[in-house]
Amino acid sequence: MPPLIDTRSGSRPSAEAKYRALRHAAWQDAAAALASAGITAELRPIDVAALAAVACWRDRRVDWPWHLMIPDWRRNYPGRFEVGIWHGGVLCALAIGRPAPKASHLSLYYVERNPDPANPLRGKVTGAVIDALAAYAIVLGKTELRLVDPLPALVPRYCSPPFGFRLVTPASGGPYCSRSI
Amino acid sequence: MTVSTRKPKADPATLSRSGGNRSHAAEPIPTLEEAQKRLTAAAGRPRPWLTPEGLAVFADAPTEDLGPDVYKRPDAE
Repeated sequence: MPPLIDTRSGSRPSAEAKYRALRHAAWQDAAAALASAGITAELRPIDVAALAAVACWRDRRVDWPWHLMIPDWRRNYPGRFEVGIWHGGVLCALAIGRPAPKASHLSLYYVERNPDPANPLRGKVTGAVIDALAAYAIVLGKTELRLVDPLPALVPRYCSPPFGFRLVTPASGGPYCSRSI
Repeated sequence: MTVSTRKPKADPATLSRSGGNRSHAAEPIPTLEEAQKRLTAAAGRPRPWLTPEGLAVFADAPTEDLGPDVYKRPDAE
């Protein structure tokens, strides 16, 4: 397996370490909120354990190669949002996104839920990911969340009153759901 | 006492990949202390997706995946 952190650039390890600490602060904030809502979850980086766990998922809706995606994103985006959501030793979901440079939004690009019907956080993954995303946006000083390339069938749920997103279909580029925080 | 008039060297973590030209510098990275202050200031914010009504929205969703059907490699910044 290739190294997960690109160390070719002299500045990159420093930025990587700083953003890692910021992501951890956001995860702690979100984990506390989840606990208050009765949801026990651990939020962690997408590490070797997570990549090993996702390799065991069966009947996946998508065939995203997380073992390739993570090195790609780590190489290009030290400020990325990433999270692996665990419950009792079970990997329940993975998510990755990134902040817009010189703009006010933080975008979520990929979320995959463990398709196992016994996933203990089934139905709670979206709320958990969005809460962690919102916390990271606050940390970075961003004021808008974007869900890029949403599944059409899920858009009404994102746009429901509790979630409060609205669908944006730009003239160029793909659709996304947007929400202010 | 000798005082250096040289400008302090910029934090390499805030420099752009093209060499740190000021006009192209990356956004500054918040410190952990700044981050904690921001989270503390926002502690009472609404989290409607974690209310019982919010958690009910995806309770019966067949999937909670987000993204394209096929992975698209990101362009380097």
